[in-house]
Amino acid sequence: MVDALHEAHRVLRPGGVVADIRPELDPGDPRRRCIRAEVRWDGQSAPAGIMRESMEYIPEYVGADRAVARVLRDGLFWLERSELFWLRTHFRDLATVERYLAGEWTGTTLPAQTRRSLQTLLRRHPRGKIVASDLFRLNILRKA
Amino acid sequence: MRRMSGVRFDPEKAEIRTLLRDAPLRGSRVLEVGCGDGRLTRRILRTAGRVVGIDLDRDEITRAREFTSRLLRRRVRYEVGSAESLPFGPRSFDVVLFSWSL
Repeated sequence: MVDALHEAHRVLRPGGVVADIRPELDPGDPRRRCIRAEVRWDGQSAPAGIMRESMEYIPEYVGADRAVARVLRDGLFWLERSELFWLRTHFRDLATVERYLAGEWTGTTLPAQTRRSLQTLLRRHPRGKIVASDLFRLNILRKA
Repeated sequence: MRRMSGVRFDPEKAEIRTLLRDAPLRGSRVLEVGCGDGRLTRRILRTAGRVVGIDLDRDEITRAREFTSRLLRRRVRYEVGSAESLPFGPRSFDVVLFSWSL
């Protein structure tokens, strides 16, 4: 990861920037990434719980944080801006969520309690859609 | 990230809106490292001057080329390559973007 940032530094013009977008760990539990599930219907929404990502990815996120800290400490870049934002994925129904978790988000699971909440909410609001919200961070690193 | 029926990823465009607000993309030469199938690359292209997307996965690069319209292809190039050994000279870009790839 540090090597990639060194390469970015090399190919950037003086004063150029690295934009680094990455998942943010759960502010309430930094050992995990938190993905919130909700049901939205007719301009309203209700929370259904969380989706859990496997902890096997955590070392990668921590490693990336350390790589950024290292190049800042070495004076290659300075941190111009850091911002949190939510990325949302919309699903037609619960079956689509489960198909997506099996085929794409293979490290993410839907806890039983969240599944039950989603089923209950979708029974009450048959036209509802499931939305997964995932916290991300954008770092802007300016080449020193 | 593959396209799947019944799934819409970031329909609010939060990612590109945050990028456009914070990163100097307008008219810039942008390198996207780990571009995958070009999902974000195509959104950046509407603002950036020229974009190069690289990814280690040859299949993803093939998909990125397929998914990019002929009109946009004039300003984008996709290459198979590694973030640790970028096949570009010094000072080639204004912005280097890592989206979930650092």
